[in-house]
Amino acid sequence: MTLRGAAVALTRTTAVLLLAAAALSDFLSTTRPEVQNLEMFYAPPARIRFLDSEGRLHWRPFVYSRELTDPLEARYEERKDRICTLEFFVEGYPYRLFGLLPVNRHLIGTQTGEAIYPLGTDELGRDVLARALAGARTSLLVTLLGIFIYALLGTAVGAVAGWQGGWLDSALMRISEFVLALPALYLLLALRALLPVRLPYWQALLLTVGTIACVAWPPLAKGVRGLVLQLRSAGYVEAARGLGANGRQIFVRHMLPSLAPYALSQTLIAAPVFIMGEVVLSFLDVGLSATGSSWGAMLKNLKDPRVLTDFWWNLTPLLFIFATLFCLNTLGTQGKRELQRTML
Amino acid sequence: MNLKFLPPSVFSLTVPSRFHKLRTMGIGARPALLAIAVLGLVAPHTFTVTAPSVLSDPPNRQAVTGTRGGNLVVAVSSDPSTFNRMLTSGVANAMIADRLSGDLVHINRVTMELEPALAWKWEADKEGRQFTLHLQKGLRFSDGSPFSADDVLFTFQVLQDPKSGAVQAGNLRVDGSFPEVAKADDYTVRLSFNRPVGMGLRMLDSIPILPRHLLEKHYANGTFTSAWGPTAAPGEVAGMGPFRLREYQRGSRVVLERNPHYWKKDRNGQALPYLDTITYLIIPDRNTEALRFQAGEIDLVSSLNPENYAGLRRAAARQNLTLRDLGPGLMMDFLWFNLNPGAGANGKPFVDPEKRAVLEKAEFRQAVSHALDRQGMSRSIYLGLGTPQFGPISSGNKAWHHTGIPATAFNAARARALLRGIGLVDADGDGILEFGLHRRPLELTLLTSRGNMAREKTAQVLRENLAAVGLRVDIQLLLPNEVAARFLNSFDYEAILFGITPTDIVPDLQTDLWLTSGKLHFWHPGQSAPHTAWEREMDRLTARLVTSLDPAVRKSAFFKMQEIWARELPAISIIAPNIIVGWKNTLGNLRPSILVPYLLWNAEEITKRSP
Amino acid sequence: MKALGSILRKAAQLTFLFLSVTAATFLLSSLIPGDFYSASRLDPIPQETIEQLRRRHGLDQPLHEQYLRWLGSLLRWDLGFSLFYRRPVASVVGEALANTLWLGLPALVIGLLGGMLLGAVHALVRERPFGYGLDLVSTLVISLPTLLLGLGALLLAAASHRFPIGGMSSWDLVDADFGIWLLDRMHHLVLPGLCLTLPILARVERLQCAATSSTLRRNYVRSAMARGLGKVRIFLRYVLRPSVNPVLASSGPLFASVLSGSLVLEVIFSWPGLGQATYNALFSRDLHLLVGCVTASSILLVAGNLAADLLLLKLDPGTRRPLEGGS
Repeated sequence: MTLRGAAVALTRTTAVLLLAAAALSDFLSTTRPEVQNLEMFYAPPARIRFLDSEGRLHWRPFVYSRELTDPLEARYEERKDRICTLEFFVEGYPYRLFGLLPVNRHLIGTQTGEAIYPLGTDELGRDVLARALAGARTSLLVTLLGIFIYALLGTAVGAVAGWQGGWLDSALMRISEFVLALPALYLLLALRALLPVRLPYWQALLLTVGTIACVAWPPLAKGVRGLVLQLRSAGYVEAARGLGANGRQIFVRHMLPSLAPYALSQTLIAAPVFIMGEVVLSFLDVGLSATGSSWGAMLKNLKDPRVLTDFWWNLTPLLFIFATLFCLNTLGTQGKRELQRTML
Repeated sequence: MNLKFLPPSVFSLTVPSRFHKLRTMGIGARPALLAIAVLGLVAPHTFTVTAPSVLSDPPNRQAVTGTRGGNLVVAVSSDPSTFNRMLTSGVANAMIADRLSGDLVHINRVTMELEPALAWKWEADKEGRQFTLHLQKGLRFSDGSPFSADDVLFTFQVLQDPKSGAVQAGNLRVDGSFPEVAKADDYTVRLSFNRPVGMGLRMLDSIPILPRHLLEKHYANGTFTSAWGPTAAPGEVAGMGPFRLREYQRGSRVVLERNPHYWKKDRNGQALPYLDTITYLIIPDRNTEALRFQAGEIDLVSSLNPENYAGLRRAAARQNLTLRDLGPGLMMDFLWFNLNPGAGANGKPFVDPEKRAVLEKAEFRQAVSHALDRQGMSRSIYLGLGTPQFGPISSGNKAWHHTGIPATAFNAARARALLRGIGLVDADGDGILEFGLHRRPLELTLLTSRGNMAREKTAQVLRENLAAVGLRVDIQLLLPNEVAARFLNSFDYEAILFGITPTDIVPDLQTDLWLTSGKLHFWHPGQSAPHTAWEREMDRLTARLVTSLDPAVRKSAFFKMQEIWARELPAISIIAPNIIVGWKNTLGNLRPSILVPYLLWNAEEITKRSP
Repeated sequence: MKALGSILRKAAQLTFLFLSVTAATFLLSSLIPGDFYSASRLDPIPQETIEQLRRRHGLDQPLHEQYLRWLGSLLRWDLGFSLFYRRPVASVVGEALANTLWLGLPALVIGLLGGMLLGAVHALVRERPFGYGLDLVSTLVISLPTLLLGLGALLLAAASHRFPIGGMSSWDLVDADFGIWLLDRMHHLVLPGLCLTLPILARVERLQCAATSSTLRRNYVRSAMARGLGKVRIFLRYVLRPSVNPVLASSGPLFASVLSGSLVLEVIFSWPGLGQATYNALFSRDLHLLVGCVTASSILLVAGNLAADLLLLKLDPGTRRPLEGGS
């Protein structure tokens, strides 16, 4: 019991942290996520120090400013003569807190305004931390939206097909087979071509997620349908029917309790697809957008094998993705338990 | 064999001296004897010889030495779609089909000069319209059947027929029409063009001479395009190249074996090629190719991207590999704006007329060029292995590149000043310049092709650079064919970033780009009459370039064209990526070139020392 | 007679699916500007040659005529001609399909069986450290992009010299006897197979775990427990059997994830399968090849679904009625 408690506590903390990161991304970052620095590409995370090169102790943490020495290997040398002292609540680029309050204070920064890169930079010298934080907003939204469409479509179609049976069942199953067999990549590109050439990033993202969700629901529908069929013939449902319960009652009272947990767990299993979809699409060069910060877009540079061997800090989004999926999973399990408790 | 008998000049590559030949005669080299005979027949002629490397005897001796035997393992990115060089354009196809086929004359990929090949010498008339090519005698196709002028005639017949789908046919057309080809005798062919051809016979490079006895029936039956397709049996495919097809396993490998009838010999009189076989492994992913090269499974890599180069460099010394940076190649990415004043089928102009009025100003394009941080791009995108470019051709093209052209180098202040000068100001302070009567924000949509990481990154930096001077650019990624369809057919775009790779160093083969009537005059193709004064001047200079026989006149014409281009910037060149090649140190006689395929072009000379 | 009717009905359904999917693919392709020959104008190829080529392959015809023509040739068992590979689509797709099955079938079988086993065990030990550990590991595996797995495996192969770096067989393996050939194939299969199996395993594990633990709470299980039946017997008979059904029901579509996973892995591991062919068809705008690939993958999916249905039918007669009497 304590173990479960610990797990739940951990999950809640992680979830709160993730949401906070998404909400406060500008406050927490030191540089704008989209700003490039072509002198600082693939720079490793800054080393935060208290001791300087002459052995003097500084009471405030500082970083040395760095210079590119070898572009081929992306090597940087610390300039020992240029110390950037870190301060809290410093002035930086202006932004709107929670999308409303115009502010320019940031949690950490340097007095001189020099970028620190606490988690290093990516291939065009953008701050990995800032991008990952900004990406949290986009990616969380996208994931939630994706699984919502997925769950809604899948459960609705599956339940209706299984419950109604007959020609409707047949038609819905044919449609789901058709959708499943559609070439998702091509569908995406074709839909893209239908839309105007100019497409803002969030619309492109919406299109991607929407398409993935619309192509992905049939397995869920099929599973739900199977379960409904199974339940329909289950003893207690037949008993309820025998006792004169009407369809709606049977569905809500006797089927939903078993259906909801199943749909929930199925949906959670599909969740990674929506975050990862963008990565896969990018790798296959069918990603829709060249710009914009989302975890998927950040992992695009996995195409460069050096990211895995040398520039590991570019895998930061994976950590965020893992945390998100872990939360979703644990919260989902808990939710399922709650569902079962209240409904049974 | 004694080195001091070789002539000291001409790179000591191809031209054995007469003296040298006489010395080897005694050993019984038949081609040398034949050559003397031919020499006797055609010695007194009245033509002026324009080609610089015309020889007085068949060029079958190469100044190389090596040992016979061995298998060379290389990678290609996709399955071959045909073994007929005439039908292929992709690098992967050409890498294989080029080894199977021989051309009449050949461009030496290192000296960039035209060299004799199946035609051992040629003459031009005074006007430079008519060329007489003398074919080598006694040569055989790789299936052992003899080669003669009939095969050449057949080749040209097929080449000119649109039904055969020959990819290189356009190169042979001069002002829209093909040359007349006539056979003087079994070993002499005449090519007559309708105007003087300044570049000589360079367009004949890589045009494969096809065996009439094998393909004539296919041509007659209309099955020419599929005759040497991927399902062809190795015995059906024959050519004049150093290798012939032995085996093809789909998705896995293509194996070529040495052509026992090949005509070149090495300095010691040993028949080339040295290698017994070349095995092409089909590896679609470039990272995988680099890893397999590093693991020693592949003998050479023709084109490494900077990322893989960086990874391999550390392993190079340990693994006994040679990596070489050949400097900027001929490929460049261009950014251009749609200046086409026309309208689509629905009557809607391709570009908003007010916006086009801005794009049409040279100052605008100069400002854009000044806004681009090419050094920064070279550093971050190409890891320092790319060279900023400002003209229509890459600085890697040493023979033709004009170093004195005005460079619109990175200068954001200058860019802003230029934009202000043409009335583009940011009145509402949102960071975006406004244009036109209604002061609309100047926003442009840039199309670029997906699938090329470096180009996608270039587009992103470009966006940032232009935002810094007040221009808003949206990047849209499309399939390569989709981008091509937009700038070649439908013209509905505002700006495009796309890569152009010339196949040869001479500008003559790119007239479609220079001429206002050309289909590759990207920004405004197929004009009935030159739209602007500078384009009219470009047309005039192009005409001088392609028709003049005087190298100095040709050069000065093209230098002037480059000056105009660099000032008007109809298409803004950005960076020429360096060509990086690598090979195992056990290989010999490798002579890397910046022309495709970089390494394998002299496959017959490559030799493998047993480790 | 009834069996015949149901077979006929199934056949009609499949035909409808086939027609709708292929028609959709033709339609989708017409939405994207350009065709196979759009970029060839960058070559020194004369305009009239391109027109000739377009005409020969029927690309100049209106879309519905292209489709009808394609259907017509299909009756002669001709799937059209691939412009990219320059050979009949049927042969390209046939080979690619076989190669993908080499990769996909073992991954599917191992992933399914292993996942069911692990998932069932997981459900029993849910509240214990081992259960939480499994939770964590399966989340981790699910959140790793196939791309990362593949690249990591490839780098591993290069560094360790234990495994081949991509490819389906060693190039220098000529005229080997079947045993050696099979061994070599297996050796090449290990890494890409593993990368394909792991995500499937994790997904099935999740499904099985969820299904099993919800069955565990069923009243009949509780009553069986109350009756004092052996734990193992209860688990095998009352828990495992019914909880396998929803997993099986969704195992057919696992083919879809095998296909999408192999799309990435085949490119990374130079595996000449359906994924590679689809990728090439997509990028070169080779319409007939694309339709061929799409058809092949839908056949795979339908076959997968059918197999899952049959299994379900065999294991759980409760679903028989709607399946037989459907529509």
